[in-house]
Amino acid sequence: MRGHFNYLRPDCVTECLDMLDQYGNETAILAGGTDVMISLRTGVKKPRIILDISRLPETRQVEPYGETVRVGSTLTYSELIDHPVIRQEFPALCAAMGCVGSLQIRNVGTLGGNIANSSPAADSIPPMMLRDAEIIIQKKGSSRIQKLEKLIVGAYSNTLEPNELITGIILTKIKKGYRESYQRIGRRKSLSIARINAAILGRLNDSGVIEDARISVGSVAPSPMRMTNVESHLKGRKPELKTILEASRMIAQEIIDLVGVRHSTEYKQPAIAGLALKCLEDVFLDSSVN
Amino acid sequence: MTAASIKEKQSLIGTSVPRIGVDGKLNGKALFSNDVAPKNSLWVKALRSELAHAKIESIDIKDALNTPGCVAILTAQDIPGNNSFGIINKDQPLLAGSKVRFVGDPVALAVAISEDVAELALSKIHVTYTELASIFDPEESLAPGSPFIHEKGNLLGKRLIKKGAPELAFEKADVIIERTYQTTCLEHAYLEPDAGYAYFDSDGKIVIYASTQNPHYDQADVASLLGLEADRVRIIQTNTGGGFGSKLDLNTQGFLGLACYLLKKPVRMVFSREEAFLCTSKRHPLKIKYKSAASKDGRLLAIDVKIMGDTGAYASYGLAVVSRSAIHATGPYEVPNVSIESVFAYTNNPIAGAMRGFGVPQVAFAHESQMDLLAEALGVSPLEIRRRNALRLGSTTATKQELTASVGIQTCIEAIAPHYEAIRNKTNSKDSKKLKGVGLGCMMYGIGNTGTQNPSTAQVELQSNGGIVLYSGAADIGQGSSTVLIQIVATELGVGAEKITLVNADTGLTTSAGATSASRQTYISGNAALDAARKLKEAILTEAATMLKANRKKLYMKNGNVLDSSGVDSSVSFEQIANKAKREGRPLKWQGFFDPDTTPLDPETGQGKPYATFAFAAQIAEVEVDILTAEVTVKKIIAAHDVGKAINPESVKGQIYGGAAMGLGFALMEEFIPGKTVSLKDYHIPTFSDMPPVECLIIEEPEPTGPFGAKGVGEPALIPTAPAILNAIADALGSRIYSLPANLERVMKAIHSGASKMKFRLNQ
Repeated sequence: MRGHFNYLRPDCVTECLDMLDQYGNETAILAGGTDVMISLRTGVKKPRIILDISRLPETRQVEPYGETVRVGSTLTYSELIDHPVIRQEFPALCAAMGCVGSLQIRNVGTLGGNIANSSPAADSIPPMMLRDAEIIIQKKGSSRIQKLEKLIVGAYSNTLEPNELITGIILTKIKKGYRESYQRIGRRKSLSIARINAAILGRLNDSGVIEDARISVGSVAPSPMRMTNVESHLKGRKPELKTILEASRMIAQEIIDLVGVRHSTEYKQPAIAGLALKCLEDVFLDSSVN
Repeated sequence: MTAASIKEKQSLIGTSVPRIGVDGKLNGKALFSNDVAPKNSLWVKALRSELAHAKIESIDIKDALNTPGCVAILTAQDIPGNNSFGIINKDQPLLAGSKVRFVGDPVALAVAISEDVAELALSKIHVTYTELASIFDPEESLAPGSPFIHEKGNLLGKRLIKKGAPELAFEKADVIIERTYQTTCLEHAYLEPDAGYAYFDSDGKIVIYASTQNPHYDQADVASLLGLEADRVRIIQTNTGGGFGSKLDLNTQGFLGLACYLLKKPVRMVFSREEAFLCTSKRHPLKIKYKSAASKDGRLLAIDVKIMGDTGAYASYGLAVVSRSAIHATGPYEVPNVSIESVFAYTNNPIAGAMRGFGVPQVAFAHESQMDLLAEALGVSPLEIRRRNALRLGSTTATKQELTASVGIQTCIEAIAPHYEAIRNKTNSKDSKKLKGVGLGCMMYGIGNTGTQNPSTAQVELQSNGGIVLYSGAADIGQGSSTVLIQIVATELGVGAEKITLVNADTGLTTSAGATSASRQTYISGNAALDAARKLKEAILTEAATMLKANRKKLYMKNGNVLDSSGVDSSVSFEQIANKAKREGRPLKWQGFFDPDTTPLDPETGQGKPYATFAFAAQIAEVEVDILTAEVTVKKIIAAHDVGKAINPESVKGQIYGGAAMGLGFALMEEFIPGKTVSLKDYHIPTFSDMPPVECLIIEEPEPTGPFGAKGVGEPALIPTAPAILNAIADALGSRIYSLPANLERVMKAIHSGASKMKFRLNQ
């Protein structure tokens, strides 16, 4: 049955934080609503208050700041994909956001919402993890900044308190010589949740040796994960096909070792390796661009 | 008939007259069954079993009745008539009385002032059950000692077809291929979930507005449930947002009729998507054991096919699927020796019923895979083996029906042949991680119900203003039958389509046209409408001959006038004719009738003439398989369909595009898992981005008994697509998938078991 609730729409962050301070425990925060509306309908969430944060001006800006860009949390995927700075600095994130649901969903869904929902299959999270994403979290009277990896602690689970609000995301700009790639597998070509997704960022030095490699894989564990062992394994090597293949298999093996062999392993193990290979080839083997 | 008169006659035949009512669908003004109820209607909601198989010990409705705003709680004991319905077997209770047989079986209804109150009331009904052992597998269901789901036992039905001497043929064969194929439950996923509205009219009739494919059947079964004469119930079909077979069942009509009858108040009901998923019928999952024998020269010698079907908790259209899957197991090929056995059992799974193709899409997956396997074993091309075996004039089918006309499969194959060769000869892409493949799928499909009378009727009336009214019981559920019927009548009477007013699918105003199913409305109701139009035409010409004092044989109709072709400059309008006939008391409303020429099948051998005519098709699918991720992309579909005559070519193409999309879903992604699949969030149907370009090749081998030569295309459109895609995947990978859907997991498995074409391997 449809629940009954009060609807509040603050005009600024301060007002919003006041409301959260007062009603946080009985509130569902609505930005784009692409997750909240579904849980309201199914009855998974029965809040007394819906707090609509979609029109807080302070959370709707993209602000470059030195080596970083501060991205407002309630900007929609479509707004971000169309934003020149985001397009320029975050190609893998743009590719990932372009895979979210359908155009209708991208027109209302927000980057902050994707983080707060903390789905294991969130498209935007792997590419953000590679850019040292830090999340700006505010509550009445104070604010904190937490690394994205630390914020998400499990499937649909994070460190946000009921009186807290994500107001922005700080992402590091792409550095010279870096390339990145985002790939995902879905059960159909659009409107599907990622079966597996991965983002890889890297750079070769002047002698063609891998100087930096960062790998994040989603939909395979309770939360998207960095593959630090494989990252260090790659550093200092030349990106020959053999090396890349080996790294792809290592990524898959490490994930399977972590989550255990299951019914889905027969598919997932080769598919993770295959997806990783696509990303690694994209980043390291075709260096003609950039 | 002179050539000129034929030409005149066919003026609207083969032209894409715009779809009747299309503007309302485009501008959103068309009213669907959930839009027609007035605000004061009471809401009806069903309480559904959460157990798969259980005895109902008691139902306590006291608390529920005390819910403010709840008007009534209805259970089986409130049903005044016969609490069992079903189009073929009446084995389904409207509300479960003694026991529930699947998760979703309705147990009680709440009628309340709002949907929310109705739901709240339902939550206060206390049902005490004793759980019974449940069965989810049809073979287990038929095993000795299995608990009975229905009193008569768990066998729904069996169809045997015997022709020639298959055992002998298998002994002499050069090649034998034996494989087992498995398909799954599918959800129809029509755009519009079921809904309806009912009220008592001033004559004391129960009027039910419904989203339905079969208003006259609904009328009979609702009346029987209520213990009333059929004419006390009137069913009016509203605009219907797709059906694909599921809206042949009584999904809301019975509940609405019951609540309206008992409370004498207007009532409405609408299913959520989840409810439609939970309780409406599904496609039958089939397990098909298929053995084929062929000679060295690539001719089919024999088949031995064993089909095991799961019909779920109730029969619905299950028996039709039992027979149709058996009859069509040969595919569009001449097979001299045949042994087919099709057995369907009840289980505690969701009801499986009619779904676009009645079992033929499932068996086509098997027979088309077999053809490719035979071709491979014999070293001939998939195209060639189909050419050699395809039915032709004079061929006999598995039921020993001789095909005497309109056998277009050879023409379909020849139409796609150059495209097939061209795709074959394209060099494979340089990207060794994306393998390309091309596959063929062929099919035949019997138009109309199987081996049984399934007539249609229609009336055509000339009104005093010269306008024509066509009355047909045929429900247009989006496939375009209304437009086709108008084109037929307009052409016969020499008027424009705009001169015809259609009254359809209203049991108060029309007589039965039978179900909108089995791809039958163009052929059967088209013929009934044509018959009525011809009779009216005769009457009009007779009147005109008298009025013009002319030779009746020289008269012809054009633009609402009767003219004399003998050079005399005289004419009389339909309006003048109507007025004169009316004054003199002569009838201007004529009844048409058509029942296809069929005979029942012999119960032991399956011999008989199940259908008066067959549609044929051949399709090509071109695919690309990403061997790193197992994703399949269908790049192109080319579809040749023998429709007899395309009365409205754009509508034919519309059916083919939609059928190809449904076939792609069947091939690659659709799977309804009982107990798990809840809604469109976990049931994937193809989106726009999954669909490749579809090229339609319309083949017209005229059917002499069809209206202007037409047959049907609704279900045929879907049938060859999945087999073509599966054959294309096998072509790409060098290894074959035997269970649908060919999802990521199955394709990955095939990638790792295939070898012949694989140029790139991750674990190299």
